[in-house]
Amino acid sequence: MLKNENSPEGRQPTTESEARIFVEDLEVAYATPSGSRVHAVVDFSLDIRRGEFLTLIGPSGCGKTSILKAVGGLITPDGGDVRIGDTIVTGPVPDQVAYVFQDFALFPWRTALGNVEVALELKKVPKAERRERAREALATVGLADAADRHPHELSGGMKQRVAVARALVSNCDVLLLDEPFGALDEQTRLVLGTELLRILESLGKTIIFVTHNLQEAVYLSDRVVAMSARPARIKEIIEVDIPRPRSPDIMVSEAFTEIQRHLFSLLYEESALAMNQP
Amino acid sequence: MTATRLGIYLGVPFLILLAWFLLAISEVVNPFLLPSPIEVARDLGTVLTDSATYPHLWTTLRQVLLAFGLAAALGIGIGLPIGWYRTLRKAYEPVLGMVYAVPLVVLYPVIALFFGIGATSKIVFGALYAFFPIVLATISAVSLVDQNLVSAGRSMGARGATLFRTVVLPAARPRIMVGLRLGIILATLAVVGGQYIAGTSGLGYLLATAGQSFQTVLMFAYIVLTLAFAVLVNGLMAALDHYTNRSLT
Ligand SMILES: Nc1ncnc2c1ncn2[C@@H]1O[C@H](COP(=O)(O)OP(=O)(O)O)[C@@H](O)[C@H]1O
Ligand SMILES: [Mg+2]
Repeated sequence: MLKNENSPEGRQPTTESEARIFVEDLEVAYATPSGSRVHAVVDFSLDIRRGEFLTLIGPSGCGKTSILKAVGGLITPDGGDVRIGDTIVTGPVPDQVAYVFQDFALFPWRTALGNVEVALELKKVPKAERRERAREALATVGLADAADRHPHELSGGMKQRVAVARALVSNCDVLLLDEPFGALDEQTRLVLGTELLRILESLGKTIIFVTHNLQEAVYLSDRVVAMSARPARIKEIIEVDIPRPRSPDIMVSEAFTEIQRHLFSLLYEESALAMNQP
Repeated sequence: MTATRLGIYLGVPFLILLAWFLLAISEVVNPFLLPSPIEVARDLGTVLTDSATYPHLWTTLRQVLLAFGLAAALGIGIGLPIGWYRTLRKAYEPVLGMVYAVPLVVLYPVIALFFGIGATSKIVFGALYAFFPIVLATISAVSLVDQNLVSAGRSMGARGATLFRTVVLPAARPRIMVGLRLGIILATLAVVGGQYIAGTSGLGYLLATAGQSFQTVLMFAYIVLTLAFAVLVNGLMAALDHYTNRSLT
């Protein structure tokens, strides 16, 4: 069910012309309590290729979530626009875009299975089919046995996997992952990251991933976008030319550590800047 | 239920009963004012076997449920939009909170004037009391719904009534239930109180007649009956909690 029919061999490198998501001159601002407006994103433009794993990395509060929310149609930009394929995003696009939220955003009153099913329920998928597909999605993330547990009975890592299953179950080609490992400890994070990569490499989805973990960014991505402190601007885009499928061993390879070092130096000054922002 | 839990549940009532019994037989308190539990139990037996008692119970239950239903419909119906829209909440929440603090019993004569001393005035009085905790709980319940859950629902295509049904209501439900529980307690209080002050039937009326004719033993029997009634109402709320939990989630 979760296999993408279009790419049986999995993720394939693509060219710019096949871009899937276009972000153009995006601008996002928020009202402050004092009545003025603060810009979270200014003049942000980026094309994301079909089937690409793209990571946004930058100091916290720089505007990564805002960009993701604009792509997902959860907020209306104050300027510029986002296109998915030929369509300008004006609201959520549940048929094409699935979301994994920073703190999982699972419904505490539903079981793990119910939390995955809800995505299909809202698409009016018949009950028997959605039950079956939800079970499959849970099995894909290794949680078949936890189907009947409620979120408060699940560990952080398990909740995270339920959230991934919920995003996978509706078979969208675009996945937006907002710090999906943010709330987890380092070991769980590493294991889940490897596991997520294994699942995603076989699905060929277009992914925008947000993290502030350098290693994770390099390990998972085709391209890493290093962002400035707020308002979010692109500082540099780094291609990660490490062949797939990737295994955790590459994390100690020369190429890997070189990219990671470069990213670190890019982000260090921005993070220092961000820390002094109000 | 284990023996320990049974002990915990029944411990306090038993101690109260024991204290009552000891106070009564030692005659520290005038036995006319505090009859012994045994006498009261005897009268309670008479009351319970008297078929004339049940219409009063039924009247009270009907009035409490109607008052509660009215207050719940209005309180939730009004509370949902006020809680959801920040501008409405800023305007109305403080006002409602203020009115809640007013001792509403002062309005009873006005209500009796408008609706007579029959059932309607008791229902309106009960609904008035129950309305405020319900509307205030609903407002805060909705305004406290985790916005991330709302975003998650929207990202999966829920909007409008579907978003409310799938995300907002189940997320707000536990806090609304707190208001409903408080509401039905206040409705019971107000209905029985209303019957007591000016009524022709119901538990409050029975209490009033027994008290006014100095039949203290009988009055205590009715008090015990009223306590049992409160337990019943509480049981109904547990059922409502269970039902809404099942149907909303
Ligand atoms: N709903 C909001 N209201 C006001 N300010 C916000 C809101 N959401 C985000 N911001 C502000 O916008 C900036 C960027 O936020 P965000 O996109 O969440 O950054 P990131 O995900 O990179 O941490 C931050 O300074 C944050 O305080
Ligand atoms: Mg964020």
